[in-house]
Amino acid sequence: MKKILIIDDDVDLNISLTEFLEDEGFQVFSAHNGKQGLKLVDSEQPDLVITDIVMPDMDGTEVVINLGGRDTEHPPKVIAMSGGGRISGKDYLSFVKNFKVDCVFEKPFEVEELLSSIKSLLA
Amino acid sequence: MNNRFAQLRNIHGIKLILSLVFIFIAGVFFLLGYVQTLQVKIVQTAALESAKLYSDALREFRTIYTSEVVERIRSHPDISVSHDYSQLKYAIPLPATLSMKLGEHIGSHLKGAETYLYSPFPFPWRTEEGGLKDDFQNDAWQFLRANPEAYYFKFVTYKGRKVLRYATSDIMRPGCVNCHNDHSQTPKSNWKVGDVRGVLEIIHPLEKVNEQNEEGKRGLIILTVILILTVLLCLIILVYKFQRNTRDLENIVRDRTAQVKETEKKLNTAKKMAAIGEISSGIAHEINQPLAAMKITSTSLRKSIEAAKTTRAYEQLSRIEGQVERIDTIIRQLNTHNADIGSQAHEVVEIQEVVNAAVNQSKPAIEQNECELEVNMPNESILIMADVLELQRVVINLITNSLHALELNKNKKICLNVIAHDNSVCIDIEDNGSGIPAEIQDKIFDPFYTTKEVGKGTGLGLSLCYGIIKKHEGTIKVDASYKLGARISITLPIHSKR
Repeated sequence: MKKILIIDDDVDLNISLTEFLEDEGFQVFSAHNGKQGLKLVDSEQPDLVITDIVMPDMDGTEVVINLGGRDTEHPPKVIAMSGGGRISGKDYLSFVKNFKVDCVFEKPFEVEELLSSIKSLLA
Repeated sequence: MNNRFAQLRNIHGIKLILSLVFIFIAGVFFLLGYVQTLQVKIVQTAALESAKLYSDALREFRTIYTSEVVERIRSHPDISVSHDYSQLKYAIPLPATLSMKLGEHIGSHLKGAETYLYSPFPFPWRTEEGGLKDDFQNDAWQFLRANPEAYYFKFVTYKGRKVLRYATSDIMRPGCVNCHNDHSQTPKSNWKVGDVRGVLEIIHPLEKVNEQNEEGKRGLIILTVILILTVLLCLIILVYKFQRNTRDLENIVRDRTAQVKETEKKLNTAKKMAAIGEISSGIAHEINQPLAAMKITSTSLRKSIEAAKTTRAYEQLSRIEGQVERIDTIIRQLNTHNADIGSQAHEVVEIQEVVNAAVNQSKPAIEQNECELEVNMPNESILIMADVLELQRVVINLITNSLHALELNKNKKICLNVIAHDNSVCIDIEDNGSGIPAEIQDKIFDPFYTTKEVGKGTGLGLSLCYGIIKKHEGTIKVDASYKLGARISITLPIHSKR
């Protein structure tokens, strides 16, 4: 069973996405900020990290940079998502694409599309 | 016509211009008057001189005639000296007679200069033309009798003409005395040398000179009128030019002002757009989150229905409803910022009570942050119309904001001042933090504006406060003059004081 880590400060979104991905047969962990997220990366070693950008206590961009800087054998795949904040989601995502990110999604997104991206990344 | 006059009154400096014109015209007329007076004087002086000459000539003639002719010939038996000489064979005229005759001749030739010889003692054949007949003659006789060497004159209208009446004394000379005394019909026989025998009057006409004068006057007036008209014309041209200039300038100023206003408007619109942009991005972010959650849950719900997992389905459905609520709240809070003014659930409360309640609720957070709190309120009870809970929320929110701002401070202090004025009361909340930068002071009450890390406060707090205070018919703003930190000033209308 593949492991997916969801990092998002929005509690409801966390719950919904976790439920959906669990239904699809993944093992899902969730964190509410970048710090928590990186701790879980160390402890659970997920295959995929899905992270929001705009969060307190270390945002998604920092997480992506951090993961990209790691020297590991099997680094996790990274998907970034954003609903925007001070600037639009698109702008955040286009910035984060400068770093090691496999896929980006603007909120709200079609979850089926997310699913097919996840499946192809973890194939 | 009225329009023109109205226009006239509006000319800048019209009073000054009219005054100058008036002074100028007055000056011109004064000058004219002076010239006229001068001319009259000249005329009179000329007439006087002329009359004097004429009078002297006549007298001298008489004297010479008397001494050189009459004296020498009167001893001859055949020759008589008489006033009636033309009737007698060998007669020569009396001196007076001859000089009068001379005067007549000259007068008729020269048109107008008349000569008269008169006294209160005329010879009998001269009682008609020789006696004192009018006031001037009487006055002249009286004056000359007392001042034989002087002359007496008056400028009068005589027989309808303007004349100079010039009178000198006719004095008894040695050659005259004997004759006058010895004459059979003499009215007086005790004449002495040096007595004033009578008055020799010259009536000198002023017509010709006056004519010249009138002509000259006419010419002068015409010239003056032309001069004045020219000056007025120039003035009018200048004034119109000036008016036009002024109008042009006004137009330029108006255009520029309009341009400036246009630019201002555009700037304001741009500012608003920027503000809206910020708000929209804030809203977008806030709403994108529940939307994203809803979409995922809807997909899961569909799956639950297809798999007939009813319980799960219902649970997912209520989660979706929760997201809908969440969005609804956000929109509602957004509207609250633009709340209508009007009392809703307002009651009369004492402001000190409200502030105290808010302070008490905030005490745990204040103590936790080890912050010093100072509260100053007036002794007399200040009553306001307010929604107690909402107002408390505002005060608490502001205290919370200050606590956040003081996070990095070593010494933390928050001061709450309630200040009463005549018709309003102020609540000031100030802290000793880093203050609110000038550039954002008017933005912080916009909905979704926040300087905090996103996730820590949605930026709705201050805009909510703004809406609430607005509902209370008050104002809330940053006090820019407070430099020791941040001060938010709330002003509310007073209901009454006790």
